[in-house]
Amino acid sequence: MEVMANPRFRRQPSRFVRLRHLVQAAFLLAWMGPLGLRLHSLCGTVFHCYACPLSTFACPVGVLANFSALGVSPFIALGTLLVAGTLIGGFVCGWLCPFGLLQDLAAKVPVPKLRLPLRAGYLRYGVLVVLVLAIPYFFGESHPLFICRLCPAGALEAGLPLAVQNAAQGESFWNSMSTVKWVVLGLFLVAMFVKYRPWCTLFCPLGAILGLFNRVAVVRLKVDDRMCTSCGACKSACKIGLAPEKQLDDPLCIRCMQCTRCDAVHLTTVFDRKKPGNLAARAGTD
Amino acid sequence: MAYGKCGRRRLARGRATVTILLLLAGAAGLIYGLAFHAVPVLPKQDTPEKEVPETPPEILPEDEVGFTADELFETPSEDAPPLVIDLTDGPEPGVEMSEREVLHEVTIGGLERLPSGRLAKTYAPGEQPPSLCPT
Repeated sequence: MEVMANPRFRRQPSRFVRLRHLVQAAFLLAWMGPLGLRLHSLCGTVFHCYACPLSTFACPVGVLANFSALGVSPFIALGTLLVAGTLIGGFVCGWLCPFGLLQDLAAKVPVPKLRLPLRAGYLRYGVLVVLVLAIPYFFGESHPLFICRLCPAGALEAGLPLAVQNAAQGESFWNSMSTVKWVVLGLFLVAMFVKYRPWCTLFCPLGAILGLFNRVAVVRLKVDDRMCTSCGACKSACKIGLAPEKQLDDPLCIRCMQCTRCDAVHLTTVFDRKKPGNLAARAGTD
Repeated sequence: MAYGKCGRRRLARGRATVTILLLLAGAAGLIYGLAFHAVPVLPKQDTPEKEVPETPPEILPEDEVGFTADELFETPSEDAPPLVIDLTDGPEPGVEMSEREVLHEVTIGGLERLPSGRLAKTYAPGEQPPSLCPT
């Protein structure tokens, strides 16, 4: 196979990339503070429901939707997303998000994975505009299509613990959440085994925002044109289904860095002006 | 798209400039939101706010109003009691709430938008907030 023939493509990702799940797990401690710090007057950068009993920060999507419903400009949420997005862009999704970690772990179950066209990723912008901004603004937070009423993260991280708590207190388990939310949760739990990161690639409004920064983020990936032989090895390594040699800054990219198994793709910063050849040589020493 | 050496350098410089501008905008938004942005919030409304009618009420004839236009504008006599507007019995005035407080209230379902567009709390000072999971 041509992919195997590329001598620059390593069988294993670098040691740093192999630590990704460990980094995600470490950040889990920040988002779900075991000390019970509820710093809900600050906005987090990841998709994590603030109704979760252990959540440390407020969910940026929930804040955007609720502020839209209230008709207030969310400067803190927008500022947080702008700063995080401009600094690391899609790395938030791939390296920090707890909901992403859950889907990453579920994807390790050896079940045939469904591949949808990349165009389906534009659905995320529909979710962002319609469910997060427009419906809350025009119909308020009581509308059944308000994003928090459909959110699987809320159902899993807040609704399910609440249901368990209610059941322990002798109350109804099933009445703790709406039927719609139970259905969404059930569908999501099945989908995360048969599709790689179904929420992130199809619906996540936060990923839609942060992915836009991939092109201008301080920390970014770069392809060395002089080393790339267009062998397609990086595409075969990309679990999202992107072709990194052409779509390295695609908003769908979560920066899992599997494509850096090829020496032609490497980590850099937006301020790096050195010649690609030098960078490639540096990446090759890993 | 293929760029020449010069074009690639210009592209990189433009990208870096956009990055710096976005970072500055984000930092400015964050600082403004954390330190300066505040919104007026009314206390809990016990009775639902009345909808403002879209059409003005009909103008009644003078005999139904109870006073004439001349009476309305005539100078009050010195014996008449002074005109006092009682503010003590009305609704409590709203308070300015910082965005951080608004953000915190949002996470406990503590704020609602009234039909007039103003914000009001959903619970009184001594009460528990509605829910940690409003949905």
